[in-house]
Amino acid sequence: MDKYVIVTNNPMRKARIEETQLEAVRLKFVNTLDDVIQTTRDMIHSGHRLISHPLAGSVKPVENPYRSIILSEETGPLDYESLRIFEHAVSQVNVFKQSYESDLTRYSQTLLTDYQLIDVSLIDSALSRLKLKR
Amino acid sequence: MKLELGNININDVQFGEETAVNGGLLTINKDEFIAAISDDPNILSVEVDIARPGESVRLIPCKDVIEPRVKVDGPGGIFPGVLADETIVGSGRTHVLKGVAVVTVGRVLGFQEGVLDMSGPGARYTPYSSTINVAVNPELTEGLEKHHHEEILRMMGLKAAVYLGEVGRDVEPDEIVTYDHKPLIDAVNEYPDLPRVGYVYLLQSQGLLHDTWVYGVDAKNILPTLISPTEVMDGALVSGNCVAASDKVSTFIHQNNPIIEDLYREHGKSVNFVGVIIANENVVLADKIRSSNYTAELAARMGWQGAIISEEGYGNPDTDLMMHCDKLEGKGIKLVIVTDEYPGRDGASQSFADVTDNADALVSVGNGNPLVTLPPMEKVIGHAESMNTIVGGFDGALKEDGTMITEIQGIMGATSGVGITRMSARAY
Amino acid sequence: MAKLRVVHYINQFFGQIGGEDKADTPPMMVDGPVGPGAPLQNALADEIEIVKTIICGDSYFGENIDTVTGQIKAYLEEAKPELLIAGPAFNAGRYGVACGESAGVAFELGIPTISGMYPENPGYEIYRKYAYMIETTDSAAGMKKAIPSLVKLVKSFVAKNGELGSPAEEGYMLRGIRQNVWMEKRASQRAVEMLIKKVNGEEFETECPMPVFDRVTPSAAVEDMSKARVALVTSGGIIPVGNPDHIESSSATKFGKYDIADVDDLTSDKYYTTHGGYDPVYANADPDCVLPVDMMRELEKEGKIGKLHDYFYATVGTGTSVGNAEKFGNAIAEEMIADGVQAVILTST
Repeated sequence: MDKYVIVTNNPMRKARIEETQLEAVRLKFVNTLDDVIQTTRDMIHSGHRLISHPLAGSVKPVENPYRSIILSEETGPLDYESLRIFEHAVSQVNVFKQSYESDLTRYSQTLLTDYQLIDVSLIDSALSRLKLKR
Repeated sequence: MKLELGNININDVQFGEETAVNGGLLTINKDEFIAAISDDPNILSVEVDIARPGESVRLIPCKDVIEPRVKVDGPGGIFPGVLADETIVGSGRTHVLKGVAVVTVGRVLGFQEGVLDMSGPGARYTPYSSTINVAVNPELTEGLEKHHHEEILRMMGLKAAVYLGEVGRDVEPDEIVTYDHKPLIDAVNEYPDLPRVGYVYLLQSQGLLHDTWVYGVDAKNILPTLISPTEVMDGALVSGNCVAASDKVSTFIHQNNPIIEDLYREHGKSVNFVGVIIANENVVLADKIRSSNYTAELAARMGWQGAIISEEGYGNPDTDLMMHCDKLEGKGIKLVIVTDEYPGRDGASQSFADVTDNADALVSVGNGNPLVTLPPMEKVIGHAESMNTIVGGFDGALKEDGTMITEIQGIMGATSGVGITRMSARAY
Repeated sequence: MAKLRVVHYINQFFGQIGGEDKADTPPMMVDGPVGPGAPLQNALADEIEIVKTIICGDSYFGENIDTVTGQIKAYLEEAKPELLIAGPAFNAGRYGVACGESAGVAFELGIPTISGMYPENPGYEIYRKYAYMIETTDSAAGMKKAIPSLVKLVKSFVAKNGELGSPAEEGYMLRGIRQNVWMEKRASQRAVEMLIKKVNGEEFETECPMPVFDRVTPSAAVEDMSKARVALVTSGGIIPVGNPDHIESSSATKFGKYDIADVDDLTSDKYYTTHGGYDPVYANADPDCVLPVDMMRELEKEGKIGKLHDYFYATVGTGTSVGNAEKFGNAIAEEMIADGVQAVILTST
């Protein structure tokens, strides 16, 4: 059975993982979008492979302050393709820092919940495509 | 497959006693219309408005745009697998109420989008300011689960388009355009000396507010496959994609796909337009790899010599584009890519979320980041307060007098990846 | 029509203060045009009024970017120009960077800038998005041509109320930005036309070129480090005290080669950093922290490397043009190959 790590700052994702207790999925919960980017980068450099695209969804990064990225639990030699896709994707995050504040307090709680929901749905659709059970 | 599209030109839309078309005037019986589209028990009430080109009207937040059509001859019905049954469509005759569109307005999630201005500087950016828009704005039961909410809204728009389209059934069209899609072997024999080209049509397929349906099948679950361009004209592709406003391929645009239209214009003259492959844009990288491999194999097996590829959405589909590019070019199929760009407000950053050296032929639909100021409109259909939290907007984006500042990406269809608009971007 | 209020930025040389010897002049603002501002003002007598000129020494600017840009911001807030003209800087790297930084300050204040420089000037590549820069020759001898080019662009700027057209139309160098434009035909139609050309092997022009990455294939790994001759190279500006080769503290136009055959350790009495882009305190206290001669000698003693090469090479990386950096790299590599060097440790800051 393949195993995965989800790097996320989305509390709704965290709650869902804790509810469903999937054996194949481990959560790496961090605080901010920048933390998600940094942690993912570090993990790719440590040999984890990128499983989901770092820019899932059309709601722009930073505008949506939540982001979840799926990586392989297993490590190997640096996967260049993972690094390449990741670096290009991340350059776009910086583009949207020009457009949006990173400060979460600009949003109401309902809005934050909605952004969490979009991120959860995108990763749920990714998880549905992965073989999570034997 | 041969499809005759009968365009019935509509010059005005008014509410009236009877829903009918007479000499270019579409009248709608408002109560009957509402009854026809409100069968879902979660629909509490519906507001219907008419917004005409040139009027000082703003619609916000828009979800889908759909063109009223009706199958008058030939198998199947409009929106097969969704409203009509699964019978294969794309042949016979279909009537179109040309110049009219249904626009579903409503909030599903808190971040509202997109905006559609019928006049003023905003009208230039959107492809929908030139149609008479019948805006459908429902009030639904509070607290519905979001997937369910989106589905109700989506179905409502489709039903509205079918209801209106029905009145065109017995009307003599003002013009009939015939589209022929022959089996490959016949197509090749028809124009043996023209280059065989096709269209790779990438569909949004990532989850809530990011879905497309093919004969009612969720595009997330398909492998790349062939579809006739004429099936697409009969609504075989339905949009469930509501974000982001500017790059969204609405159902209207699926029905009126400009790449298909423009390939047909050159068909038999400079190219032999032999086929369309639809493929998805899943979030999982392995899916993208499989999909692009499969598309390239399929295209090569069909003997394509050239292709145009389009995407829908932002960011993640850039990787689909580049993978498809590498694999298709790898098979010797010459590719042109249509895409939007996000190089930032100052236009100085990298435009795309992924690149490949093989992408040497790009057509750009422009940069979605720059801010535009939209002047106040006399009438706002929908939820005016959502102007403050529009995608691409920010606190203070809405001024007291109704002036709205938004990034281009908040305007409906402004950077749609299939290339229906005339905005582009150049190196300055 | 009211004349456009303009402020002109120039360096100490064009500001008639002095040459390289006066490159450490702090910024000042004076009334009216100075130096090349005069012919500009004359040619644009109806369109603009150069109300103030800001003058600053090139080295002073490069070594005190934060304070100088702060001062320029204050000057611009005081003078309230509608346009900043900077330079022309020709190929003078520090001057080009100064013009670019000034344009950046103006940009933040919502003031457009028109400038001019040689395309290889690092100031062009780094700051081009902040200004409209005309192309000049590589030396001040090109002033005769630069002035009319600037005048033409300023005239167009005034006539069009700041809404300049494309680089090709207006005669300024590409700014590296993507600008939205409106086309006659919709994108799908342009795509079909491009496809027809491409499929027929005809020439076509892409609407968005892919970024070009300078890819260098790494050399094969060194098989046995314990036998290898390893050299040290730095762009961190570590050089002998006295700067015998006059390497500039920014936008360097040269590199130096220094003999360390008898040196085990770089000490502050003999070596320092001339790099203007970082706080030099630690590098000056112990230059080994940027160019680790001491550690290399240890590795040599331990037999981990074969030999530390007798020479190290140094230049300053900040504001250095890509063209020059390539030239330096090629030249250094050629010498090293001739000298039997197998590996290099390159330190940057």
